[in-house]
Amino acid sequence: MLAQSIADGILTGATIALGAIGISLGLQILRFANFAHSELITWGAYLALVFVWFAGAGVSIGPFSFGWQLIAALVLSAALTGVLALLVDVLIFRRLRARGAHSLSFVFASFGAALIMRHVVVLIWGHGTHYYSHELQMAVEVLPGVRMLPDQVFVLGLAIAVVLALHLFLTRSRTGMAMRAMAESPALARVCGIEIERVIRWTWILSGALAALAGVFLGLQPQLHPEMGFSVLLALFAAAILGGVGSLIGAVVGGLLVGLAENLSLLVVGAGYKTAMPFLLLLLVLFFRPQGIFGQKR
Amino acid sequence: MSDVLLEVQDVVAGYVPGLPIVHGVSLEVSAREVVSIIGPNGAGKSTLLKALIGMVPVAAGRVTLLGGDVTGLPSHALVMRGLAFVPQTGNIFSTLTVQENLIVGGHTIATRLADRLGRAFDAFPDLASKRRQKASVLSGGQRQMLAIARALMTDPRVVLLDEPTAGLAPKVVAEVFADLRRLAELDVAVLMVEQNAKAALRVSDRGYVLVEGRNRHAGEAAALLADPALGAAFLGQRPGA
Repeated sequence: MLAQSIADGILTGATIALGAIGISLGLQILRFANFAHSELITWGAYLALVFVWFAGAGVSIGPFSFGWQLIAALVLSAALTGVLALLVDVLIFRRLRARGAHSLSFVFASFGAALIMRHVVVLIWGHGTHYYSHELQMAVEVLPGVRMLPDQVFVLGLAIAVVLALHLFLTRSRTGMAMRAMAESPALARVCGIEIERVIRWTWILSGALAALAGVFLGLQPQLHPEMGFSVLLALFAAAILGGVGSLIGAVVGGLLVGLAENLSLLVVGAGYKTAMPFLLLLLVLFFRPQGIFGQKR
Repeated sequence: MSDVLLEVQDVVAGYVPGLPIVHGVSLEVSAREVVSIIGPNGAGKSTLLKALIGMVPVAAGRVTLLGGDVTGLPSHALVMRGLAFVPQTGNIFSTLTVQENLIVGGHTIATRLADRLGRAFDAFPDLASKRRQKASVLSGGQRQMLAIARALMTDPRVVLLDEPTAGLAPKVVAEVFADLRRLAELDVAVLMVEQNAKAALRVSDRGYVLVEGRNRHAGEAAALLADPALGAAFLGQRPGA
């Protein structure tokens, strides 16, 4: 029972971590809490659904419920959601930057953007739920006492691969280093010849792409609905802050801790209290480390 | 003067529109020169440097770099045209490693990054042994060396330095000034703002004295050092000493 709860926690945490990385990038580089990130998650999930509809269900790959169409949809959705995120920036946030708006204006603008984006989802796809696949899956024993659906194993494996790729991007590529430099000091980054607007564009694209992956992963477990992004938004912020804003490893560990807190709490308290557990953990950690587990003191 | 790399003509600049701190300053920096800007606190020295690198808006006047008008250009465009800046504080990325700091410093370089990294480590051997360490572990002097090495990654023609020796031990101050003199010999022009005016003028070719955001004196560094009135007012010398 304990092993199963830990496995479920890690699985939930992997998806939360992908979303939390986007939140963390926003807090550190864009310098505001982007509440519209939840809707990028929802849009990412629905854009992938459109591709799956167009391409047809196809033949399932091995034990998974989906075929190659969903893999292609995942890639296309990540690219398109990156573009969508960029569009949101161009239409709303770039204008606020140009006017030197207060950071609170950015936060409230992101609330507005989130509401509009969510209602457009309802307008296009309706209030109901959707599925990438109606294939039934049987859980398999992956470790003694731990059973997972094959789709869940796929989600976990891909999430790990994406985090590793992102780590390489941030530490090995010039754009990644420029993003980290700007996260620490935009003023110094500027005099190093870094074009700030270019880094901001990259941040939106990357956040959008990661949100799309998180959206598809959520959609695989097991359905899509217009509030799917919003329903995990607080958990994403909890994970980003718990791990330490600006730290990739922090967002990942924060995501895992949130997932574990939610699932392990089921062993001792009722399911109704599940979503509150990460916040208790957050308060506890911030009491001892206000900058989060991997965050830097300012 | 021939071979002028940076020419500043009647520049007016300040943080808030309509409230200038720099009121029409003019100066020139030529190839292989070390030029110091000295003056009392609040003279607008640092603001002038920040205006030259695009961090503070230039309200009036003209800045010419390598013969081209660069007035009002953003910082990244100025860096690409051969200007570099070492701020007084926060001049390194402490969360990045030493090597990453240098790579970020060379952000605008399209090719030969490895060569330039090698050159930076040759010029500052103390940094080479710490290349994989976070910059936050460096001593004050090493941080300043890293800040200068970072600024040099783009092969700038003119380097602006804001208080390069602030907070450093006397022995390290001498090393930093020696490094700056060496830069000039490598065909890089240096324009620095320094509170340690006497020491700065000793390694400089020429100097400018700013008072209340305006040019007050200018001339050869040796002449400024020898001027008794100037010495009493700005160099901490007693009259007649």
